[in-house]
Amino acid sequence: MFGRRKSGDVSRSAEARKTNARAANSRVARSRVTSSNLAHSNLAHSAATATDQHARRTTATLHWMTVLLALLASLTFVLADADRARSSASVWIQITIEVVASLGFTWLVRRRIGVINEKPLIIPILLLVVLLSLLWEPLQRWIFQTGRPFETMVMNSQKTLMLATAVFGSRVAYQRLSVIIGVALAIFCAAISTEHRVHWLIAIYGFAVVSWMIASHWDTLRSRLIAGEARRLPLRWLIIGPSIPLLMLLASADGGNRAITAMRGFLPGSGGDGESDPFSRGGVNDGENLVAGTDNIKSFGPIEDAPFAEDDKPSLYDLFNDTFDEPVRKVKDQDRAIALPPQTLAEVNARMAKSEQAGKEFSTLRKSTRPDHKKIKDLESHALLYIAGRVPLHLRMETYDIFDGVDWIAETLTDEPRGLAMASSYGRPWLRIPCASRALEVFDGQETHAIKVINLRTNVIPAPLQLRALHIDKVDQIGMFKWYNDTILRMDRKSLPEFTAIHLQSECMDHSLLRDYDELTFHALSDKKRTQLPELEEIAEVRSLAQQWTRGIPHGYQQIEAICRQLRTQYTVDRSAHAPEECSFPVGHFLFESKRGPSYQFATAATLMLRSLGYSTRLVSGFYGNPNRFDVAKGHTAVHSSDTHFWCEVFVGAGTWVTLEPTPGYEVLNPPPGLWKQALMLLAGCAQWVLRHWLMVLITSAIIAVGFAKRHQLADLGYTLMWRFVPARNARQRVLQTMRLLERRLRFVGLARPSGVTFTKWFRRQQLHSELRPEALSTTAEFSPLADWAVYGVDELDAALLRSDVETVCRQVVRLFTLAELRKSAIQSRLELDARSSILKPLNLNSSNPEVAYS
Amino acid sequence: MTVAELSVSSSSDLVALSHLRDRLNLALRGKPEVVELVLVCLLANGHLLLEDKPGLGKTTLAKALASGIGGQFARCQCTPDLLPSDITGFNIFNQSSHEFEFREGPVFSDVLLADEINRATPRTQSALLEAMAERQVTVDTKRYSLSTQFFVIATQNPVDQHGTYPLPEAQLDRFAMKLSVGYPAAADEVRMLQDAVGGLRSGGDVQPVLSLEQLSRIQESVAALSVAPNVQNYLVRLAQETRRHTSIALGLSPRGLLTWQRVAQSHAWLSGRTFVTPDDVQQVAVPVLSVRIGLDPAEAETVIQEILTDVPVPDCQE
Repeated sequence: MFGRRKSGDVSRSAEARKTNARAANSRVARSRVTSSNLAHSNLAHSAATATDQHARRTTATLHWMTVLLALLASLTFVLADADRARSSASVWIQITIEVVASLGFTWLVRRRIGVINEKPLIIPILLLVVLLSLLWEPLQRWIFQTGRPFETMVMNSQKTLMLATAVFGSRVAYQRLSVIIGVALAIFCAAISTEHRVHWLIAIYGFAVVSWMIASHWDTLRSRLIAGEARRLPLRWLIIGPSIPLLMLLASADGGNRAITAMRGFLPGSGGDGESDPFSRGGVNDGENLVAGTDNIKSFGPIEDAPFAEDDKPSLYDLFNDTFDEPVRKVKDQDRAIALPPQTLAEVNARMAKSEQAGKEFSTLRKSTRPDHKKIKDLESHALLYIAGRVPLHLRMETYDIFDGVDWIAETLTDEPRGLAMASSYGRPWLRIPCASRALEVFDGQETHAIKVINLRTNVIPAPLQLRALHIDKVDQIGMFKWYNDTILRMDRKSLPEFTAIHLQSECMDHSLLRDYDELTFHALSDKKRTQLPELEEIAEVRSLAQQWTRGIPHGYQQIEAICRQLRTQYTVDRSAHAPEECSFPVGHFLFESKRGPSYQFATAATLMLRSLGYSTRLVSGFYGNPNRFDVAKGHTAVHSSDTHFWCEVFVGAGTWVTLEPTPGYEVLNPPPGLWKQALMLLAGCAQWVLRHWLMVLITSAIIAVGFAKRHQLADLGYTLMWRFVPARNARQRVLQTMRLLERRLRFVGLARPSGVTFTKWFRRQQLHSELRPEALSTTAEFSPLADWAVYGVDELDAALLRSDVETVCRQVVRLFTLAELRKSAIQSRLELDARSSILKPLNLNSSNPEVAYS
Repeated sequence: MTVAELSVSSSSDLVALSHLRDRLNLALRGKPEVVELVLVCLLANGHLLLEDKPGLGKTTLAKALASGIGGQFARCQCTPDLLPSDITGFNIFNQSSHEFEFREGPVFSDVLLADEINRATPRTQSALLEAMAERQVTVDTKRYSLSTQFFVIATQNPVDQHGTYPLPEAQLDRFAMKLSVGYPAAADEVRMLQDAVGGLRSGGDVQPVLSLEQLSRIQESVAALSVAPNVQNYLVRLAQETRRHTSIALGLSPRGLLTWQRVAQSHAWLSGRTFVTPDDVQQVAVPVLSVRIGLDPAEAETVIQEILTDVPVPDCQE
């Protein structure tokens, strides 16, 4: 709450400021909730507290209102917990499930309210629910590799408890508990969330709580008017209740460092205790996530919002500090840099730690200058660069056009490169890259990626094909950027700046639209370099293979797809496969003989085959952002040297090139699927899984189906075995066991005993409608008084002799009234009841003859 | 192991009681359930209010009962001019002894039939009700005790309301139960007609079948019948439910609750059990409650049914 954990090394005052801002954001909402809490305690406690008052059942309206209130609090919590880090689809799916489940269970509970309230069921259910929600966490961490920090985990279990108490809350006590947990949850959300919608929800929740209180108060009044009993005012709670939120308010209102000091360690995940938790949201200590510090910086990392510090490494940013009148240090290695004003420099008075590992925000890791602090280590990484954003991603580094059969020759810069422009967007300088192509309707939205270079020593900017804009913080000079070739940019310095986030904005192409897009001509370019083929005999074979693969397919994207599909399905990727050295045309060897090779063979083959069919193509090398390398916790993808990759691009007309991926196992980035498409994909995924494991699925579902159909028999078997082998303390216990068994059997055959009827009467009544053997009737006559005695009798039976008799009667009744037998009589009984339902009352309690049979 | 061991009633008492039952069944044809409840009421040592239309056999039943238990039978026809002293008795000046002598009224009997009780003035009603509740009367500051088996059968006519003084709830509470006899079935009526042919209707068998001592003994054993804590809790929950129910203006009083338990004990005794089950409580619920909750009979039965359905019976020992 007061301090997000999982932090880099952040100075405490920085964190305090954040906390203040958050507190200010939530103050309105929080005060509203707190005041309603106060009012609630007053009203609730002045109304009544006698035990029977708590156990009182309320109206259905109030129950439903409590459930809705709990759902609102739950919605608030889920949104605050998601913290924009989860996809909105998954958040809303979770919310929908919660809403449907809560409303459904409430409906069920209301149907069987009498039974549920009178059995000691609710407390175990509530405990179980809380336990399950706590157990879910380790499971989630283990399976999905994601998790919650401790405080959110605890509050999540409270949320579950709140929903469960609301669902079972036909009684005042449960409803109050649910609302009180809800209010606590709202306060928690106000503290942890900075989202406006969460604060709005909390405000709405505050109002709803007040309405609920009015309704609840009215309900209490109603019951008091009828019951007409005097209630005692609980002074103790009148004092304790309001003081809790008051204390919390005082603690949070007192801003600055003191609040942090006061609350330090209050939430275990805040980092105040010096522990580290990889699943925490944020905090004040070392952690995975890098947060920019402002004061007493001791470490250095890639930045967006961190201040600049001096270092002896070549940097993109040159810093001269007027405040220090010291000679400029001699830097061994120098490179072109951007000048910055001196105010941006933060004071540095110690060695700086350097983080090469990117966090969620590509920011810096800093340490405070507390002398007692442990030595800061560099966090090392072997990644060349990191990508934040959607993957798979093809980052282009070099393009090739001319091929001599063995070697590709890189494209060079033509005379007239396209002009670049610098534009400012939201106060940030963006380099606009002019778009050569017309606006085609194959693009579906803009895609933004950020890359951070770690160990890549080049000045070429890795970027996707349809790059439209580029941004590096504070770099507002066009001169810093130059064209490397016609489509690839480079920086006008020796290498790309390390640790600096480069933001890339590109168009995302929907490849499925290309297939039927009429305006695409697929005509070859006039530039012969892109259609050039090596003058070798084998080219004819390549051409005939290409023609064979595209036979019957019209000229256009479908042919292109066909070529790629063939390569992807019939050839195998093998990084170690090489053509023999004497081979003059390695692609031929790959295509016709080995059928396996590294990605450049696939790309070359596709390029040549498409050229042979008359398309303009080029080979591209660069990096592949592999989705398998996506780090869920950090939210980025590392690119290693093994991710260097070759692919090809094809010209489709209208100035547009399209990325093709002929290598199996590699994918091209498509626009994010919509909800419907995601659902379809999920469905397809499930179907595939089922097909793959059909035998297991078949057996499992058969077992489940049989188990479900025979569930009553199975349960009865279990209960009967239990009845048989669990010893009874005395005769009474034995009779009670037998009664329970018979009652379960009756329930299984759909004749559950209504709560207002005694077992004996119910048991005998079922037999009125069935044709039982005389033996069964006499057994019933013997068992019924025993059953009555076991539950309502005060005196003990005479010991030893009777025990065996009791056992005999019990065994006989269990043997005679089997599940199958009862099922038969149940059908009969229901038939007769249906026929006579107009005459019989639902519970024929007092019109039958008094039982004088025993006298 | 059978029911016999569970039962403690001595066989002679049971036989006598069964004769009484036969006697009553003979007097009131085709109404065994009413007869059974009358017996329950008698053994519970409570008073009975019969509410029904004229000519349905209320008085016949009362007389048969009185003759059956061999006690003294008295009857008073309540009218607006009936005075309290007409019921309790009065002091009269004896010319010869020059002293006031107490002349006992009809309450000094074992079975009193108060016919059309709602026609008596409230003053007279309250005199009778004191006698019913306390089993004593006070005349001119002197207290006289009544018979310990003193049993009142009051009747009232629900139809003819002219010139009546309906009994207030507090006084109704003195009655253990209210019963209505109802019309007999057609077959029973035919048999009744057949019996009536051939002579003037006699008073029937006047020989008592159950002595007062036997009755007293049975009443004692009924009172001693055990009630398990869970059944008592059940009774209390039912009583609370009557107080909470929206249709009932005045819920069951603690006195009413005590009566209910006693009546349930009596029912259990008659069923041959040594303990009370919720079935006993339920069986007597309508007659016991309908006299107290002040609703018309049909509605009372629905409401009581509802309460019995709502409150779960205990299904384990407490």
